[in-house]
Amino acid sequence: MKEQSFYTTLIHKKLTAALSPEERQKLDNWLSESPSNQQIADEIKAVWEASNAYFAQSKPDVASGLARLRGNILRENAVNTPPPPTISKPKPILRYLSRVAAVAALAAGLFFVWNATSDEVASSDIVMTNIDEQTDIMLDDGTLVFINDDSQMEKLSDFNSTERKVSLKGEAFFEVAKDPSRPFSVVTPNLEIEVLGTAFNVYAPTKGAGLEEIVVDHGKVKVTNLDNNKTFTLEKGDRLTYDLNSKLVSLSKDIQQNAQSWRTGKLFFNDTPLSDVIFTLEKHFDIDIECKDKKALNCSFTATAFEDAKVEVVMATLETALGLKLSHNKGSKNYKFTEANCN
Amino acid sequence: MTNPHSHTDEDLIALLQTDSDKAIDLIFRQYYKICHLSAIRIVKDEHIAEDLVQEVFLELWKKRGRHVINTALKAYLRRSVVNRSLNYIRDLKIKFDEEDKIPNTSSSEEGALKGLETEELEAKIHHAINGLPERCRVVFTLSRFEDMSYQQIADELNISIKTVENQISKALKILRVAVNPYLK
Repeated sequence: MKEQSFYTTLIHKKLTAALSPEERQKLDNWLSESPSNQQIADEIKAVWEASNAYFAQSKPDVASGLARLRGNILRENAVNTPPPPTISKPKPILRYLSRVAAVAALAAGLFFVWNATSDEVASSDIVMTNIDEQTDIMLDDGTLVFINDDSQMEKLSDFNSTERKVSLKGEAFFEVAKDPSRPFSVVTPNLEIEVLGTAFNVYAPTKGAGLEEIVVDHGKVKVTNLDNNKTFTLEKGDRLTYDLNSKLVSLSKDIQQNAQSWRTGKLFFNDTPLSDVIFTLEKHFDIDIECKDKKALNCSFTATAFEDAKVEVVMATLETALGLKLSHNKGSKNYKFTEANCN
Repeated sequence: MTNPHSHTDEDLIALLQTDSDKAIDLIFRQYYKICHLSAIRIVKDEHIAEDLVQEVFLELWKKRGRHVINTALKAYLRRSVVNRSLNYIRDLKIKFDEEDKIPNTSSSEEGALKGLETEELEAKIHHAINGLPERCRVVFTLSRFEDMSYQQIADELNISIKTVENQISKALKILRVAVNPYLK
């Protein structure tokens, strides 16, 4: 076996023209020893040649690749456009801003909150939003971040170094500029999300009990539970929640696709259990919903898309659909459900 | 140059400094496929290969005018692609130092299919290479497709020359066993 490895190496050296005269002599001797040796050599040569087929069928689309490169170059130009003198406040809410519009706006030098010069110490780079204020910003690397209200994001590393790291309290949607050489990660109080692909929503509430939630829009992320360093890989449509009370992590599919409702204004329920509906509505409207009837939490709710619906409208629909009784004082953020007739 | 539409590397590098957008277009059209093939042979995933190659071309565009690329453009690009691809799989924490398990290369179930056409042989060898233990596959790929010497591979992967030799002969043995029935 050892001997054969030795001669296989010599055969390989011959194929790659790396054989020394001395080795050539050894190989020739071995080949002439027996026809089976010669056969091994012939077979290895045939395999070597046939291996040229490896991925040879792969035909990348040059046109779309080129289009993408041009886009990347545009984005690169935008990032390198010098920032305007000083902007004291983040730009106000731009709720329906599309990706393209964001890039274009930046190219025009409209908003640039963080200093892009490389000598700057990164630790001072903090973006905070007030209640009822959303913002979006482009980081030095071209990553777009849409930040929900009452949130805080801080840059933890110099983006010109080997890693890109930010911390987040509150909620934000990240569309990460691809750069495999500099991993992008987001740290919340309990989780660390490492980006392997592109876009995802992070919900790490600043107050109250509840959940931290990560939902992947597209691409792939790796999430680490900072309690015990266990890791989870999430792909498109995957949802990970961290229960702030029980400290348990659970994985599911993001069936309702409401993770970005704060950004899009759209809510959609399709056979969604009331427990999930409550989580979504609490988060979306910043309210508290109490449901004493534990059986009712399993009732499922279906409703066509709400668009910028008022909380009263959604609640009324829910009442009718599930036969719930709602108790709520006008102006209060607290809602109470009793008596479900859905079972 | 046999292809009348291809440009010499000197022309392209010069153009990169005067009309970088046009130059990058031409360079991309000329070398994208070969770069993509280099990347995919290392990372095994066409989308990741696309991403990595995008990075390499963007990097070239960023360097326009500032750096004079001395080597041939094609060699430079492939080298960049290989480096990025290797970094990528390294970041995935593929354990290069762990002894991989030998995969199941049994070809008995297909033994009846002798006298295959080329396409089937190609599929077979493709499958067999893909199934090699990861470190073995990468070492083989660098030798076979990137024309890298034992020393270069050893340096690149931070392993000994002896390990490179062992991995290549291991790859050849596995592939020979897997594909042999189809070569006659």
